[in-house]
Amino acid sequence: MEGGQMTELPAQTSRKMGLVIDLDTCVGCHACVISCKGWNTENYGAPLSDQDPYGADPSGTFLNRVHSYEVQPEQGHAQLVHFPKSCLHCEDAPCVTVCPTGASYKRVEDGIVLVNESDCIGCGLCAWACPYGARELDLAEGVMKKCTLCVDRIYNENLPEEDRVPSCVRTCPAGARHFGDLGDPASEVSQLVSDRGGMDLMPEMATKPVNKYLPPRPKDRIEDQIDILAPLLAPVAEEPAGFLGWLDKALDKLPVGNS
Amino acid sequence: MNPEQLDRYIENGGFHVSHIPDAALYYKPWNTAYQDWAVGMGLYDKPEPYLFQLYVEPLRKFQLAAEGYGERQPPEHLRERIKATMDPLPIWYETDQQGNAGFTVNALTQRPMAMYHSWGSQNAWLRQLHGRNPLYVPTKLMRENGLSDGDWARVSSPHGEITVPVMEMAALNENTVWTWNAIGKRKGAWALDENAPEATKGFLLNHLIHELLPPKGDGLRWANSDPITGQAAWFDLKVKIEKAAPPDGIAESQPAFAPITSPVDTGPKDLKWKVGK
Repeated sequence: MEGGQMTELPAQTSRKMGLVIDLDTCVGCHACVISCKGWNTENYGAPLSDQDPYGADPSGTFLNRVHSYEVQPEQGHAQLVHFPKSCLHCEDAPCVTVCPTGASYKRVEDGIVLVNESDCIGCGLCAWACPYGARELDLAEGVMKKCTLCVDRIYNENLPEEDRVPSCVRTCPAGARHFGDLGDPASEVSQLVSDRGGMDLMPEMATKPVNKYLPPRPKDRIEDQIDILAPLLAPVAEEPAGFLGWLDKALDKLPVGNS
Repeated sequence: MNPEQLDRYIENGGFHVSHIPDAALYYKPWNTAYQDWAVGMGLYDKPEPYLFQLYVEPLRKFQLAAEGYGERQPPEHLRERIKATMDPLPIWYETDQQGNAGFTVNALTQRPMAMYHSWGSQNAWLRQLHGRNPLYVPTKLMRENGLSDGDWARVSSPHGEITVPVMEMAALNENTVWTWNAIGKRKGAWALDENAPEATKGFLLNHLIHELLPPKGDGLRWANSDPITGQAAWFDLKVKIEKAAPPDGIAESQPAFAPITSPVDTGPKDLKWKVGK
C-alpha cells in the first residue's frame, strides 16, 4: 500500500469505455433513469431497493439521476439545463483507492469501475470520496451500488447487437447519450467530443473522468433575423420580362373577388 | 374462417411472430412497403399515407358550407362558429372562458415526461422523480405579488379558486404560470399514505376549468373544448394570482377533500427485490 492507498488502480487500461452525454439535446425526460433502475434491478448484482416508496418521504437507490438547473446568464434569457449524472469511470478514481477491502476496483480491460458486492462491507468511504455523488448505498442490501455501464449487456451475446449498449443509451429517445471507447481517438464518441468541445466534469478534482459532457449549443438569436422567409420573398425581377412577364399579365387578367 | 384456429393457438403456444419486412421498417407513414404490409396484416383497410397539410382542405370544405356553398348545410346554431374556427390555415383567437376581465395570466400544465416512459407499477420510482408540483411563477409575477418560494398563492379563474405553493422560475414567459399535471392525488388514492406530498401539497388545475362554456342565450351549454378536435381546452385557461399566506401559513393545498376509501391497502413500507440465487 503506497501513499495511503487501500486499493490500487491499474497503471493503465486497454480501453476507456464510457458515456458521452449531450446537454444540448437532453430534454430531462428521465427515460434513462427509469430504464437504468429497471435493468439494474433485474440482473447483475443486488437489486435496487426503495424505502417508504408509497409514504410521505420516499427514497431509493438510483445509479443514474437527472438534475435540472435554471441558468440565468448576465445577458439573454434564462434557460433550463437538464444534467444526467452517473459514475464517470474516472481514470484516477478516488472511490477505488479509498476502499478498505478491495471491493471497489477498476478493470484493466475496459476501465469500468465496479464493486465486488461480496467483498463490500457497506462502509460508505467510497461514496464520501467520490466528488460527484455518483455512488449510492443500497439500504436494503447494505452494499454500495453504482453504474456498471451495464457490464451485463455490453458483452452479452444473448442480446441482439444493437442492444449491447448500456440501458440508458439504448432507451434515450433524444439520442443524447453515446457509448464507446474514449481511449481510442478515432472512435465515434471521441470524434463527438472533439467536434463539440466535450468537457470533463469538475476537472479540478483531478479524477480524470472518462465520461464527457457536450455543452449546450448557443441558442438562436431572434434579433439576428426575425423572418426566415424574407430572403425567399425578395422580388425576382423588378420589371418582369419573358415567361414572368406573361405570367404577370395572365394573373392580372383573372377576375377579382371572393372566389 | 379457420376452423382449426384453436389448434393453431395451441401448436404455437398462443404466440405468433411476424416481422416487419426490412424495406418497411422506416418512414412508415410514407413507405409503400409498410403501407402494403399493414393492409395485408389488417392494420389498415387501405394504404393511408399520412399527409401533412399546411392548408387543410377538409376544414375549408366545412367553412365553405358554413358560408352557404353546397347542398349540405350546417345547423344554423353552429354556422357562425364553424365559419370562424374551421379555417384552413392556422389562426389564433382569444378564448372566452366567461369573461377574461381581470384574468390575464395563462395557466398551463404538462404531464411529466417520465410518466410517458413508464407508468403504473413503477409509480414507486416515478414519485421520487416528480412527487411535488409547485405552481411555477415567472420572476415578474413573483415580485408583483410579493411572493417567495414556498409561499401560498390563491389562483382563481371565473370558475373557481385554488390555493397552492409557488416556486419562482425565471425561464418562463412573464405572463404564464404552469405546473406538472397528474401529480396531485386525492387522499386515499394510488395506495399512497395520506401524508404523501401528492395528497397534501399536490394539486390540479381542474377546479379552475369549467366543462361548459358560459350560457349564450340559445338554451344550450357548449362544451369547453376545442371546436376542431374536441380536445378539452386546458390551454385556454386564464387566471389571476395573489399571495395567500407564507409557507407555514397553510398546511395543505386548497380545496382539500376527505380521503376516499381505497379498495386496497397502502403500499408496502419497503420495496426490495430478489434476483437470481
